[in-house]
Amino acid sequence: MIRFDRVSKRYAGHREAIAQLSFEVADGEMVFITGRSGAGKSTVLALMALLERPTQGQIWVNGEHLNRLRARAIPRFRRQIGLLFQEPRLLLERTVLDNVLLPLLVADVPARERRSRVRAALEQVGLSGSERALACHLSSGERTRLELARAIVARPVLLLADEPTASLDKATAGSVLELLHNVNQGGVTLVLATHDPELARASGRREISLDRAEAAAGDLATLPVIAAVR
Amino acid sequence: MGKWIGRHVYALGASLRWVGQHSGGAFLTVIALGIALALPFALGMLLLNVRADTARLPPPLGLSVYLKPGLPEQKAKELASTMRARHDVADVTLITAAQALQDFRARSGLGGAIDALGDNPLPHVIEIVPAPSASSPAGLEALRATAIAWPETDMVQLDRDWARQLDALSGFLAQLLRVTAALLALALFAIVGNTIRLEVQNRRSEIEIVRLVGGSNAFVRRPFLYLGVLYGVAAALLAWGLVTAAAQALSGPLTQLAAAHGERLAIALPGPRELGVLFGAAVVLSWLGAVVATAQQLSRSRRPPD
Repeated sequence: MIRFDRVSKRYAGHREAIAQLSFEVADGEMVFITGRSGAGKSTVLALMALLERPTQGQIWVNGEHLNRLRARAIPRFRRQIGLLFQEPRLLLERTVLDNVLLPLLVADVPARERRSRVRAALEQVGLSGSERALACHLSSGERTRLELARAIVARPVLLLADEPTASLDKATAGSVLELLHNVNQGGVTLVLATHDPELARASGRREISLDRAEAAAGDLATLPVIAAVR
Repeated sequence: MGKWIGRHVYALGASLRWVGQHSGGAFLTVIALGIALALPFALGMLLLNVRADTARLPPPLGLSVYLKPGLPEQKAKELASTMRARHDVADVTLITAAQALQDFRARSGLGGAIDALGDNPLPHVIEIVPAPSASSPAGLEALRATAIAWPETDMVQLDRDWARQLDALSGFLAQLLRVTAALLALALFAIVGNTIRLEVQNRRSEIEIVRLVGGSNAFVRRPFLYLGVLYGVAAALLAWGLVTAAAQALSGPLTQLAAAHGERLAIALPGPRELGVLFGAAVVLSWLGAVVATAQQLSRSRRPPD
């Protein structure tokens, strides 16, 4: 499903966010990307979703060679991917229904099919009956669930979650993780970035750890990043 | 086809929802656009009415000989008889100074002021209708030369002169209309473009979310284009209403004024053709303003990397 081949990313004026990173993720697999703050976890997810392009190296996602994907084809590519963020990116002045409908509208899903899929997605995340509520009136946990509903309603092949539980309390975080596990059980490949390696260990799933070797000279950019895959 | 319709229905709905949420601002924008459209539209209707009224007038044919003030009436009658005897003249009418003054008093309603003048300042006028054989420019010129040679003649005016003046006025109005329309079209384009530009900026975060879930540039752009079209339609409706109201307000007094001069005039209201031009121009200009504004703004916003 995903292949990174010696991928590096340097932002303009900054040190390298990641360097010479290589790994693979199989179809239907659930993997955790871990590392300290600044290790490049969000960058890896951004590269997978083609929110950024690599400075070096090759990336394949779901059979698409992202280095060669033209700008015009990016919207179609993104419709295959569901995205979750630490701070949910929602249409706050719109209803729960409008938020979950959005991916179906951009994908031209027929009207008669939209309602049933929205209902199913909201049921799966535990937000049934909240269709008319405004997104801005939801709690943090509910907003994360809403974002998840929006992510899964379009039946993506890949779900990328960037620290989705970082700002949630333990109980809510646990319920969100359980939802993610359920989505993965349905066959969706799941890549979850977290700064908490315990989360990965507790799940028993594979962990891709982004570690940086610190040099005495402090010039991190000259040293390769070691990706430890357990 | 169903998908295409669905996309546009969604975009139109999104635009209408925005207008509903920002009705105050939208209303003010429509007023500005409507007035910008009403001015050239009113000028255009004025031009059409002037041309229609002059088209109804009989073709200019003949000349008027203005005799010197103070000439005895008997002498004027002799000159009129001389002209009447010519073979190239079909008809001659003598309007004496007294008749002219009486006619002016009746039409102008300035009887008191006229009486205060004392002497009658108006001249005797001989109106000449040429025979068909002398209706050519050469024939008219020959009659004019004869009349101007009289020592009693003050001036000779060919009827086509005033028709030429009216044409020149009509031409000036037409040019004024073109210049005004061009300037106000630019204003309409700029107002709509600026409004859409600000709206795109205000909804930048929403646009980013649409892009995250796979929305194309066309999907993002479509509601803003419909918003531009809605502005154009609303502005055209307002312009139509303003011009129609003005025409109806002026129609009564104009009819009375024309009647006082023995004429029958009425203001023609905009017909289907005029309305087609108004709405077509408004929609096209507004849509273009929205196209340019969205193209600029969306190219500046964070976009998928090339």
